[in-house]
Amino acid sequence: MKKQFVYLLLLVLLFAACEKDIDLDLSGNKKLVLLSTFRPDQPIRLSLSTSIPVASADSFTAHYPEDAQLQLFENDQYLGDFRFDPGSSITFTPSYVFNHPIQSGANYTVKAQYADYPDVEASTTLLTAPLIEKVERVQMIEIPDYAYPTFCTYLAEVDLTLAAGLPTDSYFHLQAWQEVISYDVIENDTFRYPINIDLALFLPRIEDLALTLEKGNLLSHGLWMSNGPDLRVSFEFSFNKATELKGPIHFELRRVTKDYYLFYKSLEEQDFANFRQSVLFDEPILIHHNIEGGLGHFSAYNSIVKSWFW
Amino acid sequence: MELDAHQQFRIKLAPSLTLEAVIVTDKDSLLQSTSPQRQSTTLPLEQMAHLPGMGGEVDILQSLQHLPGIQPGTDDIGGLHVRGGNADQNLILFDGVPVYNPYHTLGLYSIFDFDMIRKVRYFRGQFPARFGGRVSSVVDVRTKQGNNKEFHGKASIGLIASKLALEGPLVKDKGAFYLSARRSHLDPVLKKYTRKQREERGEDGFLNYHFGEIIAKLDYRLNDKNHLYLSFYKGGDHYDNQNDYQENFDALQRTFKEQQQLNWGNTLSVLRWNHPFSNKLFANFTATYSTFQFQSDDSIEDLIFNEIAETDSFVLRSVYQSTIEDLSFKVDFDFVPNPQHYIRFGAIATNHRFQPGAISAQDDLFQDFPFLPNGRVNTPIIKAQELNAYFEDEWNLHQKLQIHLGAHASLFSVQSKQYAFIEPRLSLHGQIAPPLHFHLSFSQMNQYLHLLTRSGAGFPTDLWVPSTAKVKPQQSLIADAHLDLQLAPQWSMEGGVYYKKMKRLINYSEGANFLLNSDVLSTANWEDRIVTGQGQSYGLEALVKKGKGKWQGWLSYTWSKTNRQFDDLNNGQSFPFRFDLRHVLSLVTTYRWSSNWQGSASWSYRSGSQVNLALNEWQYVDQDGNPFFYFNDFGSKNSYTLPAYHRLDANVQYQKEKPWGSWSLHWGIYNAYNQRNIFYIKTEYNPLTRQLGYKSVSLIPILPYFRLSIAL
Repeated sequence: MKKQFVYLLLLVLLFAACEKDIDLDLSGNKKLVLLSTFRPDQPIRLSLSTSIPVASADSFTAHYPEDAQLQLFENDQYLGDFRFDPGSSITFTPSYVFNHPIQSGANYTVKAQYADYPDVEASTTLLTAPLIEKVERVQMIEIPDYAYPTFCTYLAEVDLTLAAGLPTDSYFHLQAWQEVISYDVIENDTFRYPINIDLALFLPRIEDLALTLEKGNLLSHGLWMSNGPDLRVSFEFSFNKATELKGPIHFELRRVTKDYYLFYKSLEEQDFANFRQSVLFDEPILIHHNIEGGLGHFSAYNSIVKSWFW
Repeated sequence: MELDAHQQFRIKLAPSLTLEAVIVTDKDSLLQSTSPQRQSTTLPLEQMAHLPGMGGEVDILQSLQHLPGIQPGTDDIGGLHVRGGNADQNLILFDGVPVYNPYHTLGLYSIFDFDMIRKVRYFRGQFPARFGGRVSSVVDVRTKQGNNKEFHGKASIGLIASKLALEGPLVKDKGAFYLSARRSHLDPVLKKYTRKQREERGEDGFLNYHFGEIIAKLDYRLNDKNHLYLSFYKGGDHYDNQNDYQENFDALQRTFKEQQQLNWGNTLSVLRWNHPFSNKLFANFTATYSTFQFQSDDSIEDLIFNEIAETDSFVLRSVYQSTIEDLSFKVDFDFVPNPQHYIRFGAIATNHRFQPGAISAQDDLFQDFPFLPNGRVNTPIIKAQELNAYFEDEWNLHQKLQIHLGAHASLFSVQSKQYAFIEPRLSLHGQIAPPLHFHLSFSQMNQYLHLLTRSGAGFPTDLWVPSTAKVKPQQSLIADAHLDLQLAPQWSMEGGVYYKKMKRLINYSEGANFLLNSDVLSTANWEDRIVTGQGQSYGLEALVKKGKGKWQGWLSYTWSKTNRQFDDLNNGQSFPFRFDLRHVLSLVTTYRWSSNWQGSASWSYRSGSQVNLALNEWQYVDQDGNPFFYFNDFGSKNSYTLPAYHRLDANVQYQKEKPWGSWSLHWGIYNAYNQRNIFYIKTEYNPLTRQLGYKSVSLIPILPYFRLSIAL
């Protein structure tokens, strides 16, 4: 609609509006990009790259330096330097790793230096884990597949009950996956593997953010509790009676920092805004970074996994 | 005649001697200030009528940008930003009625036809207590009353619009009418041009646009002590975009018709009864009605026929509407107990009715349209009641010292929530030496209404919403110190500083948007999509003027700094306001060669506004370590300063008196040296490469114009 107004303007003004090539100084500052989300039971893995000026001919050639210096601090105590991990040549980008058991309530700081880029620093605190008291089935519908009689799809609705005690400014990242237990008659063995499940959240106001760049949904404590402690989620999954054993559905609830929530929310929104119909005059979406002197995101999270046996 | 008591006489004069015409100007005719106090600036309409205007239309709100402290929107579009305020913070009054959208054509023209204006007063800092409800400025526009002795008329035709005004007695010496109408007349040209364009593309259809308004005023003197006034205004804009085409696939023929109509406008009416209770106490009782409505009507008809009959069709019509409606009653008293005091007091009761958005859709295929259950969604109507009362006293403490004391109390009731404030207003005016005056003031203002806008471009789709239980009222605190110096009989200057603090401003949260085709229902929960913050602005303002003689003019300059701070925007860090224009300079001059010929020119310069431009891109790596897309780094919010804006307009006028009246011809040039000022930066995103590109769009190049006027 707004586009129509602009069109109107351009025409009303005697068709005189005109475009011209921009003559603006677009030289951006060089910045380091630091990305890391980590949890207690895994090493801290961190991606470090460089930004690229939009006016540069080197577009889409992010550089992942291997000789940067990255230091980790716990409650301001120096723990040591990250080591470089070149990663897999197929899927993984190079990263830096630090193996250290992190603790709830502790504050972690990373400082990075590389070449003539401005130094960057970021901090995060590991929050206590959330607690899902129970997972209760509301309803489940079996939809048979008439072409493949042993195969069926289930539509399910369950209530996740959030335990009391978390502060009202808590934020969550909810994911789910189906544990498929497949029986191989030849090898007479079972194989377990996860399949991610998309969740639809039912709330008085559907304001959750379904992630596309990552899995799952983001939501705030206030949003969850606006419907009481029960969060109703619906999902579908498939099951082959001939070859599979019933495996549980796992729900992972991460308690994340506000920085985590805002970073992924703004990341999704910028990605969405780039693809939706161009609306003139709309202000662009600015991504929430918590890296001082640079770009990206550094955040610890704690989680709980609750399994539902159907 | 014995003068032993207060008496009132009405003396009628009869002409008996005709003198040669003389030109009378007051002592300081350009930018006349009320002296010695300078609470308001009274705009000199006689002189402003000769200033250049876009398309030959002199516009009162556009002319305000030549005064200190005012930053217009981009390329004069999008409203006025007074001392770092938002465009919704200006109380624009039409004969005392607040106007919600005072613009046509997205802000290029105001709804106030210059010929109908009798008086304009403008307040930007020292607010008298009788005004309330906005936190940045007041523009009080009073329109003409009809001549109760003779019939007169005026007609004019210009490049953009034509207008006609008639006035005369209803009952001689007792009552009069004033009728005025204006309409833009570019639509036939526009329609023909766009139709031809589409025909060249093998399509049918056109694009059309016009604006217009009518004003009717009646006044009637019942007797010496009772006078009635009635004003009515209705105006609006209409936009129509039709696109039809036909195409054939083998034996099938497809007919596609698409139409989008947008209508928006104001309806205002005022009934005022003026009654002096005594020679010391005067009263005005006023009832006002003000509404602003925006409506979008979209329809699509997609029909497919084979050789025999219609085989498939899709018909959809959707209507979106938003409305704001006010009904007010007020009483104003002026009480002059003695020459040392001029006291005003009064009260206003207003009933607000808001419907931020309602949409209905009809579809011949689906009983329940997918996103509109039962074909209709109404956002909740919000009703609010506002009570205001004020008291102010212009107190002459001493021959050289005057103090204005006042207070404005307000109560706003919405959704079972009440907000109440008492706003102090204080200003001190004094003479340091005969040519030098000082002015100090402090005002607190509250505003219960907010304009939700993402664009800042003044679209009528911007939503007026009230304070609610969740959304608190805006507030400003303004301190102001100024000096006036009379340099010579013809020359004067003034300068001063101000500080303004704004609290509880609202803004869309990052990423929230309204009125996208896919997101229209989001108006229903607008309260969840906004964030609240604060702002501050401070600056220095100066004005040098020559207000007498053949050559008159003024130079105004403002240095200011304005920022905003929202906890949930820009990482909570303070950022520059979109219209944080560091330097704003304006030079206005008029010259009268003879009683027939007059010329004028204005030159504006202002620092570039603040925008968001992505200067870097960076690659996202997901939590599993997979490299993902590239994203844009816009840096801190509003961190890119656009190049400065400057423009020269010039105008020459010839006026000839005739026995039957007069006629005049204006020639002018808008943007005389064709400066390509950047209207906005257009972002072009390539989804294949995911790369951003920029183009700047300049809106108005050099534009000559004329206007012919005939007055009878």
